[in-house]
Amino acid sequence: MSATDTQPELEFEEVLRPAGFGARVKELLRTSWLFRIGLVIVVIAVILAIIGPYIARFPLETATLDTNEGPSSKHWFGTDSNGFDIFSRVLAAPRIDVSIALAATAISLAIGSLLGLLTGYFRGWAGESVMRVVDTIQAFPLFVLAIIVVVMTGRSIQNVIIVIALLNIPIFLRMMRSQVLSLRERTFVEAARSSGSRELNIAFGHVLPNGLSPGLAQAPITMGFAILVTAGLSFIGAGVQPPTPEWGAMIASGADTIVIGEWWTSVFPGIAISLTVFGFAVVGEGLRAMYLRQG
Amino acid sequence: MSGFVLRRLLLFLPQLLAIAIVGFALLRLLPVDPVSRIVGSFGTDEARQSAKETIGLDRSFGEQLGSFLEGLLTLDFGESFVSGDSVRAELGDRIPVTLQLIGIGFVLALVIAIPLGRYIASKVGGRIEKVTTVYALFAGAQPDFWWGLIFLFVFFFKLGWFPAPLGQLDPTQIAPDGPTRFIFIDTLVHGQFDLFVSALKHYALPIITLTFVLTGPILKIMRQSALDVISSDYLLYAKASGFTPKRVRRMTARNSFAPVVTITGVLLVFALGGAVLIETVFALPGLGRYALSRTLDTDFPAIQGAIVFMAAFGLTVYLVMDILYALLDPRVRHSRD
Repeated sequence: MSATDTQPELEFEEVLRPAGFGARVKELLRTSWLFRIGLVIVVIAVILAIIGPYIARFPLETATLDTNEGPSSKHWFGTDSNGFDIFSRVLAAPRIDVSIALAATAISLAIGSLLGLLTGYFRGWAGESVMRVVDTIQAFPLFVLAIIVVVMTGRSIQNVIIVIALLNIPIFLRMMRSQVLSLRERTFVEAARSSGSRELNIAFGHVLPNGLSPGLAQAPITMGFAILVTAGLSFIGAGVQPPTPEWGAMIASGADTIVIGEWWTSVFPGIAISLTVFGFAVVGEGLRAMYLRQG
Repeated sequence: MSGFVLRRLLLFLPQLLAIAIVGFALLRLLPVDPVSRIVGSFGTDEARQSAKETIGLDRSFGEQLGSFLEGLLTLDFGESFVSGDSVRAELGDRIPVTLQLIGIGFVLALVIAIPLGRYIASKVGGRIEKVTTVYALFAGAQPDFWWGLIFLFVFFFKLGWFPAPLGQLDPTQIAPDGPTRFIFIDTLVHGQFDLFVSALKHYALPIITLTFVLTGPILKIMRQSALDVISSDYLLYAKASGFTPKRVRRMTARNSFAPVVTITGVLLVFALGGAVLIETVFALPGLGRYALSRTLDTDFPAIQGAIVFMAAFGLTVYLVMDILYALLDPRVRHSRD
């Protein structure tokens, strides 16, 4: 027996390893100018969520006598009917909007993925019932559900987070479930099982980590949607309450005066939402395309 | 096929009933007090008690649920706590406003997005394709209520092309009384063409706002879907087998519609509730604003009525979506039958 006998066997071991996450994101940054813009927006939004309230040049929630002033060198974005400096509040608002989106998305990703794993891996009447419930919830106009629940439980930031998290659970549940349904038939699951792993360990140790990618790629898109829902609820008075600096509530405070020409109160916070949600959507789309292309 | 439709139909009523009951129970579990809304926080005990009896909240939960379900059979949602009027009649006034808004908005969005998506899918890499694709992504991630305000500023305040956002008609005009409550139909039935034109002008900006935002996601899906079909093996096979170009085109269209049906259904259900934002900006007396104001007033019968209608609407859309999906894509039909 010479060593060369085993040589052909070894060649099969040289499986092409897919590029790591970091390398793939770098590739995306290099090829897509849109993704670069999106990522810059997301990074700025997250930084503002942390430091926004501290870099404000004027007090955020203290009314002044400088009411309804147009943009000037003193007040770059003007002031609203309470005399609040709009520029300061636009920069401080991510503390509320982005934090709500982040918390709500994290909760729905965690609970949705967990339920998706359980209903997909351990199929049975319980899993089927969960899916019927999810079907039924998804067929209801969810924005109205959000209005009813937030208003009736008290219009606090915490309740907005909980409601938006609940609304988004079905998306992540479905994504994880469809992953699990195909993963559970794969060889590595069978291998784990034949080596004596317990079912729960297989589900959490092997299937869960392999099925997370679509949900993680969806997360930025859901965050953008969460910002839209938060701002929408606050715009109609069913979300975060003034004088807390929040983009949707700020737009609402200028909604009556924009039709008589005082545009700045609503325009600037709206631009902030428009850019931020677009940034999150672009990043999410990029990650999703990357995931679909390279698996 | 018929078996599949029948199974879907059998699910409809239990789902509707479940949403109605959960909504009913939710209102009574949440920490709200409709009685205080009526008599005030400092009302006497007698006043509270008589108010409670008037609106029927003195009865047990079971009795209340029983009469709610009994009313459902005849689509009777009871009388509003706030106005004392029949909730069904109030809904009958509000629902047409929202349906006209989102109905026309969706038709326009589809009419724009489907041909445009199909067109740019055949021009990948071109300038038009790039611009349109960025627009699709952008519009799908926008606060529609803010764009409504921007359009008002530009087209009402600056240019004066459209009337002030004061509802369906000018304040001096009176809407015809019936028969359908859809203002575009009723004005024509009564031959009031000036009111029809006025309504058209009042609805124009809200519809443009909705269409501007909705076209994005539909366009994105249509483009992707058409691309998938164009590059698919079965289309190549069809061409290679000598199918006529007409038949190939029909096959392409048919197979790329299924994802569009899905996204349209999902958006339509969301828009029924989401319309409250645009209704608020343009002061349209629609279902969304009704649900919002009655929620703020803890008007249980009104909220229940709105919930039941919205659930029935959503479930119907999903039902139609599933049936269309099966009709469009033979693979679905065979896998489920």
